[in-house]
Amino acid sequence: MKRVLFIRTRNSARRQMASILRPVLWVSVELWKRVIPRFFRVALLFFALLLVIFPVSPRAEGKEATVLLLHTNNVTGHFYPCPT
Amino acid sequence: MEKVRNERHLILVVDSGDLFFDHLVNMNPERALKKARLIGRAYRRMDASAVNVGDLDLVQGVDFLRSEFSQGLPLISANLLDPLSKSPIFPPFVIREISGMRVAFLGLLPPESAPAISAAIRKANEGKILIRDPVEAGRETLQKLRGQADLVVLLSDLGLSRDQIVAGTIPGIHFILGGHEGRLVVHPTLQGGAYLMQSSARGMYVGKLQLAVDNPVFPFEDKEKGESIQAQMRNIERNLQALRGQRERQPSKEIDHGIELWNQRKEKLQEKLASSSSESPIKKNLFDWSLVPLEMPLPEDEEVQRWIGEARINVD
Repeated sequence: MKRVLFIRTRNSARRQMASILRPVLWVSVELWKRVIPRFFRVALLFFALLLVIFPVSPRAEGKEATVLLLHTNNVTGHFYPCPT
Repeated sequence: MEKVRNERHLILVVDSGDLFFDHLVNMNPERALKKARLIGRAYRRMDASAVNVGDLDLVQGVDFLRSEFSQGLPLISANLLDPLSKSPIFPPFVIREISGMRVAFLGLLPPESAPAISAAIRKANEGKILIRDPVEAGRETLQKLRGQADLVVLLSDLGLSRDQIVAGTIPGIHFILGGHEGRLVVHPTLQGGAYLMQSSARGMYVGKLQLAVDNPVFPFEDKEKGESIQAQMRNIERNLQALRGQRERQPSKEIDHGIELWNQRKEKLQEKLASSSSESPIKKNLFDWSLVPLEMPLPEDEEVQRWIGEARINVD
């Protein structure tokens, strides 16, 4: 019983959101068609597509630092490596 | 070294001690010092970041080391003291900055050596040196280092067993680059919070430790941890086989006990291997340790070669 009620609540919220968004979306599309000439519409869409493919912000890079140590021990006075 | 420098530009060259003199404490002192001076000059040319004082480095007297230090060789030792002032003769540690990381190197040497070496050290340094307990000196130096460094590396001439004690009792050390015995350590071991390694002896190898540090607060993990555990397990299996063979020939309680201990170690390693293969949510820094053999075909530094020729010391 509880489960049915929950679904109903979610559906009603979704319906409410859609009823608000639908007129907003309709007005935006109409404005887009009337105000912006066809050529600029294509150019803007192309520009938006370029932004998606090549984002302006640089790709995230790791802050990893590399440290390299070279170590010797017990050289004991040898100029050249011991052949053994 | 030049090749690595040309590839990467940023490296730190360090030595754990027993650099200048060999075990033949009765060798001609004049010749020994001549060779030692050349080695000091070569390490300065390599722009060494830190050189720890080992017990063998004292067999011709601390005055030689003081002279090398005054010429720019970065000698360090946290437990080699002046007997009068009770303060360290050389800096107990140095801090070098690389890739935005502050790396601290501290140095320790053993309070006792083999009888012949101890006698030679005493004879050459009468009233000039005092060697403090390494654990005490190490702990005190670590306290002084707090907040000053991102990474702490101990250059040790204590030997593996003492290194294990230091790693187990002094927290805050990330790596122990050891020596004294000159072991060839292919797979570093973890003790306390520190990884222990050595780079063989007599200039046969250079140890290469590469660190990829995401955040110094995270623990370090061997890039080849799985391979290292498997190598340890192969060693244990060989020991077990030998003990089983011995038990078949001559059974005894000691052998049974030995087999039990090795089996326990094997089980622990199996658990480790299982946990290393599963993804851990704990963030880690990775390190890669390798030993680079200094083979004869490698080109010699012409300048150093010339110095050796001029000193007329062409044979080791």
